[in-house]
Amino acid sequence: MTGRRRLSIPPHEEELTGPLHDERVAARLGLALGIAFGICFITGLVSHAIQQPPWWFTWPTRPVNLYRVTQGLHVITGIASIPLLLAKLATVYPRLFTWPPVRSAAHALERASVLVLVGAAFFELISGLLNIAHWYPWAFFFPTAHYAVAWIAVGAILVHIAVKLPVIRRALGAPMGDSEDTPASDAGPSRRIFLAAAGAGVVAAILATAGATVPWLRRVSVLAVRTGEGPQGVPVNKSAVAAGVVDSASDPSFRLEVAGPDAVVTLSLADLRAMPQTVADLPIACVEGWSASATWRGVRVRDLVTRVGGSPEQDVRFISLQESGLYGQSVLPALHARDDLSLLALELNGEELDLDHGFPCRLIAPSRPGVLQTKWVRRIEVIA
Amino acid sequence: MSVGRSILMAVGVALMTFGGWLVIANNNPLQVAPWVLGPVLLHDALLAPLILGVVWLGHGLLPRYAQAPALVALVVCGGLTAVAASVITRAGARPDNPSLLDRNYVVGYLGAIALTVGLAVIATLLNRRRTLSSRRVT
Repeated sequence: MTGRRRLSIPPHEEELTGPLHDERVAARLGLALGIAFGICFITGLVSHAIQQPPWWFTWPTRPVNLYRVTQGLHVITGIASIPLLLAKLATVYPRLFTWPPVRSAAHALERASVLVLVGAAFFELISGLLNIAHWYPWAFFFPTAHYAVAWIAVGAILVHIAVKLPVIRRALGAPMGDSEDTPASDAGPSRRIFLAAAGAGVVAAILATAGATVPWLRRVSVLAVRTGEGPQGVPVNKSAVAAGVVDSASDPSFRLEVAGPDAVVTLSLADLRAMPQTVADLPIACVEGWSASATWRGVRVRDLVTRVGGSPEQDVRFISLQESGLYGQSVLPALHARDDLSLLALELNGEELDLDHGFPCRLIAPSRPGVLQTKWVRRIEVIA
Repeated sequence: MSVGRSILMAVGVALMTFGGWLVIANNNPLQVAPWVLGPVLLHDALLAPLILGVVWLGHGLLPRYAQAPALVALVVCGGLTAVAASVITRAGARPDNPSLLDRNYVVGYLGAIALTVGLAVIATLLNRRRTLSSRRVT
């Protein structure tokens, strides 16, 4: 009997309890989702800590691609979670209509925690996805809201695991075989097929987007927010127009101020060009998950610090011509400031910096988020 | 409840409380809440019944050999559609930054969907041939 089956209205009971809704499928999808959210949470915390470092936190300068990898993983695991979450919810959907809806106070709490879990998970995935596409249809401030709700999501996952642990144990321990209990022909595609479908969904979503950070996937990532192209071969996050610096940055009378314990010096672009130049291959790695490698040339930050009497133990603040917005300045920790590869760059890929890449001069340091690689630098302060 | 489960539960509640406090302290909860609850409502009331309805229709109407490829294609297309929704209208594009959203997402999305459906059709035909030949043997 392998031909057509009759459409049954209402659905057969096994269509609500069958392979698609089996706890073995739900538990395995849940495990994958838990791992993806776990990686996403940890890499997100890392990115948060780099941008707002607590006193105990240091972030290494090597490998130079470290932040590129952690933040690429953050966005990739987030996107991979989208088909996983939808598949997982499909498996447990009939449970939404459990009767009676509430059996006890504990049951009510459990259901409320699931609501919080699903809501927080949707919030994180949707807000993250729209943020990388620069689409802001909401009123809240993305970084603080995305960060706050992440804790709720992960807390709710732990509560959910605690509640479901006996079921999870039983379900993960049970064989995935299809033959013995539910004849596949009655209940539709098997458990394995549904898991394979979810896996294919994850692979497709990753392939369609990961090219924004994985160069060899660029051509297949048809839904990636960026192709990796841009002025001088590097994408731009905030243009000079958006930052409102077109006039001030192209003013020929531009002078860079460098302030330290011994002196405040004022340097023209010609002065900067006359200092010893260093070439470094470093990625620009955006918090939004895209990244691109490039060759930068400019003055070592360390040389500028020394020139005004600063020491290698001091943090350094970079202040931009960009006056509006949160990212008009950044603090480069001493560990990075004294690094051989941390540059006040004047050139990108063999040409004078494009205005959109921070002309006349911009910070580029190893293993740092793009928002902290301050562009259009007008003042550098060695912090006491 | 075992000690391990109790600890897990307590840690989970603590993290949720911390997150809730962060929402209240650093955000306007009234701006955040609709984006937490709205998607759940939309999913539970609209998206899930729609998708599960399609699964149920496919289960009832498609021949056996087409069911697995159709289910895989449905899940893949669903995931791609969710991801594409953020870029296909290029709502975040800015005239001053051509390096952002710099693809033809309509073509890319339709191409990815067509590829998925094409592969599902091929898998269906292969399944069908296998089903028919095995039936001939028995």
